[in-house]
Amino acid sequence: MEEDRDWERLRAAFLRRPSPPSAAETERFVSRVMAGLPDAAPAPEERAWLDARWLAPALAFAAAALSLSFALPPGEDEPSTALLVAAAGAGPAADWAARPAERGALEALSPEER
Amino acid sequence: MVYIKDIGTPITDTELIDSVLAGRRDDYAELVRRHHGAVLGLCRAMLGDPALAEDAAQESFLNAYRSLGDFRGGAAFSTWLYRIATNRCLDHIRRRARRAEESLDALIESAGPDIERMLDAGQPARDPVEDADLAARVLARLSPDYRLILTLREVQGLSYDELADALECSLDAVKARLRRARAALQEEVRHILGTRGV
Repeated sequence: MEEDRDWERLRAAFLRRPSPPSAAETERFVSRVMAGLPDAAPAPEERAWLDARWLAPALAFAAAALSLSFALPPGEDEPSTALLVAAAGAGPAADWAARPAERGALEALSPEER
Repeated sequence: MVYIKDIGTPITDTELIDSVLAGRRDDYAELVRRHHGAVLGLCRAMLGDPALAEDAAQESFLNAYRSLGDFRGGAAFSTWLYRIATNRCLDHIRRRARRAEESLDALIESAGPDIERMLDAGQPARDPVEDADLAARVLARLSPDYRLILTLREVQGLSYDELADALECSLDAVKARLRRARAALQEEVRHILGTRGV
């Protein structure tokens, strides 16, 4: 409480808001500033897209992913769920998936024949 | 010129900035007019010397014009302007620091009783210009950082959030620095007044 009072005394003594400049002073100041301005208008910031800092790593990641998708050899296709279900009567799905040669013959059968 | 869109709707700072950036250079005069008092007040409190403060304020507006394209509108134009003015004042203070500062003894001898009178609310008011000069001499003994934050907070009335924007630091850092700055001013005045206390 005492400290607050001390601080208020200091503030009132040393940190007073100065009286605002008069309108005439302000107009004189404005004239001086305007006379000192360069002829060229200030240019709007052209590289605003750089402000989006997330964009650079995102684009780099996308480019890397794209080039990898072209560079890597295609893997063997996984058997589709439909084929696995269809092969359920011929044995465990895992066995069937391990014998790709038998797939053609099986797929040639109608559902009743299987 | 009256800068209003419709009756009772003044043009905002951001609209004036857009207009200046679009090539209407004269609209910058209105921005200067609006913020002259605040920028000059900050420069006076930081630099003490009225003539130097006037120069620093003018340089601040010229720098702000050149960098107007960089203003993003994330903070208020006034806060951005304070940042520019602060840097100009700090440049002046650094240059001036090479010259001899007024010693504590000289300040006590020439102004001790006047400072005591300023602190005594019961005493009749003195010449405000002399008081302002004396206040500037006392504040000049603080570090520029402390002088700046005390001026922005206590004289210009910036909120903690605005201070954090203007000083480009966290809210916690603002509060800590403000606490230290107040303590430093109290300590300085205690030194000047010696055993008479604050």
